[in-house]
Amino acid sequence: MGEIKFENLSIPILKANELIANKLREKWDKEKTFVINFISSPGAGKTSLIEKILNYFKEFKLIVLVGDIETERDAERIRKKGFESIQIITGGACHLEAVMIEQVISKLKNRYDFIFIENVGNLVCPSVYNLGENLRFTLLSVPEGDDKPKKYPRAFLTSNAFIITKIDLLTYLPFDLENVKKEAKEINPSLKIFETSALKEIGIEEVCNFIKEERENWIKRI
Amino acid sequence: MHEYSLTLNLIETLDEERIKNNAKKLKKISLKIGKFSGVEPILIFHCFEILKKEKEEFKEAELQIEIENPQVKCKNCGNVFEPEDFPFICPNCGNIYNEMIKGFDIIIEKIEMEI
Repeated sequence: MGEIKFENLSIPILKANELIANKLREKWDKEKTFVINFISSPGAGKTSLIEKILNYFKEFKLIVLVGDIETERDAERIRKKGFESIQIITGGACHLEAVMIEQVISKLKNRYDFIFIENVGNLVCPSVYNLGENLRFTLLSVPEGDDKPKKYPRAFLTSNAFIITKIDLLTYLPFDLENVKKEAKEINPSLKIFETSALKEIGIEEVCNFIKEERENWIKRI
Repeated sequence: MHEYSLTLNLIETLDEERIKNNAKKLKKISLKIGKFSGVEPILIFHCFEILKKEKEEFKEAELQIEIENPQVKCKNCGNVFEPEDFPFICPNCGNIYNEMIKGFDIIIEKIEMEI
């Protein structure tokens, strides 16, 4: 009986997730599929925003993967818009992992221009897991309060865009729009910020233009 | 609460190392948790204490956790510094566009195993 000791290993514990995420990334690069991961707390309006975004993507082959702990509700909402959608029921897990995406993707027969992934409603855990996406969007709604970016920095730190939702409620609620944007930029200076309201159709086109531009730039690179 | 999933990832990764080295048991593990990793170290510790009992090879394993301070590299002047909090302003040139080097991940640093 002996002992072995390994020092200075530097093995990330998310190595397995990263490997799968990279595999997905390679596949999507090859198929020219542009993938967006939407993160927010429950009720910030991910599904409502995606529903509105879809109106500008009718000419594309697109699928929405929706993560939730229970129910098929969000996927049904997307299907009503005439787009394909698959619900990933995590059965308790508070985030999506690359392996969950891989399981769904391996069963798909078609190629897509876009895959939108609506993560499980949670501003903490999803930010730790790379799903192989091209862009990550973090949403924060006006009713949640303007103090959130610094409370949940990792979501903002790892995102490409910060989408403020339900701005039609600014009239009714104390929410310092300029300060929330300043705080988010302090965490991640390269964040692109959008002010939106799905209900009043504000700022949706700007988000869509950003997605399309980013995709075009990416296609030129690969 | 993603600490449970992360601890499962930790155990899987450790077990891979154990099998690779033909070891019988895990004895000591040192884990570095970055201050900005978005993870609660105490929860990882408790999850590990519960989950290790389910696996014969892990029952005696002792988990040590060290908090790793963030380290970033200024994208403008190349200065490497340890910021206390956001914004990560370079003390050398005042730039806030930085590259994260350390303190944002969860890393296995040391493993001791019985062979």
